[in-house]
Amino acid sequence: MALDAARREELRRLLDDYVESRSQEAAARLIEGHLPLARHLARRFADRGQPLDDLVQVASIGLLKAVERFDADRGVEFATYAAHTILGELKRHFRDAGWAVRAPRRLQELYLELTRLLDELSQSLGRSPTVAELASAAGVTEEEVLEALEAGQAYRSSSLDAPAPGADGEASVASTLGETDSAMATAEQRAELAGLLDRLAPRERRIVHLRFWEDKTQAEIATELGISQMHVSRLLAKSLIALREASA
Amino acid sequence: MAEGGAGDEIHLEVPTTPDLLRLVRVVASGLASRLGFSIDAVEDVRLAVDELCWTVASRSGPEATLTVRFVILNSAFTVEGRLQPGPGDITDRGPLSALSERILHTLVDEYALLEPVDGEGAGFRMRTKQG
Repeated sequence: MALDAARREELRRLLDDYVESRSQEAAARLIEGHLPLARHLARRFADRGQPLDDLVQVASIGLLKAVERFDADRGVEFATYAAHTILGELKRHFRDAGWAVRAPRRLQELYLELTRLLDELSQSLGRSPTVAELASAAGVTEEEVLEALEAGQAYRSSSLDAPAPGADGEASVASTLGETDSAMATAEQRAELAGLLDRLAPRERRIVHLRFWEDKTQAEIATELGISQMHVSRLLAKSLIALREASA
Repeated sequence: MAEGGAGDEIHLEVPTTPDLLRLVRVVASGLASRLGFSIDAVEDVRLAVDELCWTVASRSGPEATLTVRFVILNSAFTVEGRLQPGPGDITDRGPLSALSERILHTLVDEYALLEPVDGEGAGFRMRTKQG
């Protein structure tokens, strides 16, 4: 990413301001000045199956860390240090997500094919197919099916796009957690759980509720919501991770 | 390993980093698949294993490992995990959260957290049959 001399000079001035004052205002200006760098680096990872907006957020976290940790006395250019930190944050994001870095296009395509076949087979068989049946229909091995299913989970937190509690105008789920629920020991636990579930986006909350409170299968939920079973599976896994992060 | 016969057993030891705990899910779903579980049931096993691994391993440090035993006996699938804590790791992890209880209650036939013993950390056990 080539910078013209004037732009480079402006960034240097922002850095000097920050090093001198260490004020929050100077930090904010420094971060803002380097956001194009964060966006540029985020775009490098844009073909790996995750929304660019999410990647820019991850890159921005890296930039924030770079500002916090930068030591001008070490003689390294801030932009170099920031790029290194941002790339580290993006790589860690994919490593922790366990998805796109290792999911080659072949697996992503197989996953899409399986999504279609699973719905077709569930309908024609009147039950959830086995992995062997799905593999046979797709003309691949059972191991390949399992690999694609695992990769397709796209273990990504939904916490970034979950609305604020009550923001969607839907009723709280508190009322749906039955008083006689045997797995819920106390009213306090029920209240805590309701608060957690309210942090999910409406559709994810509904899926979690249908699966774990109404005991519906993923196939039944898919039919009810008019989406594929694979999509239900992915949203369910994503929601559980978001709930864990929220409760940690 | 025989096809879903009596007494099949597999052991796995992995560091407790998210990308390697993924291997526990992969092995669990592979074995459930060998037992002829439906895709729905395989998904349930995967979610349950993920929930239990996270419950036991989430507070461990970078040197901790999780030892997992998968047992197939008379069409039932049992997964047992035990944390081998790293230096300074807390070995106890307290009871399951209300949410974890609800999730596991739906997904598998039996589940339990295991208390730390003799220098080993907390553990888990789950058991399920193709329904």
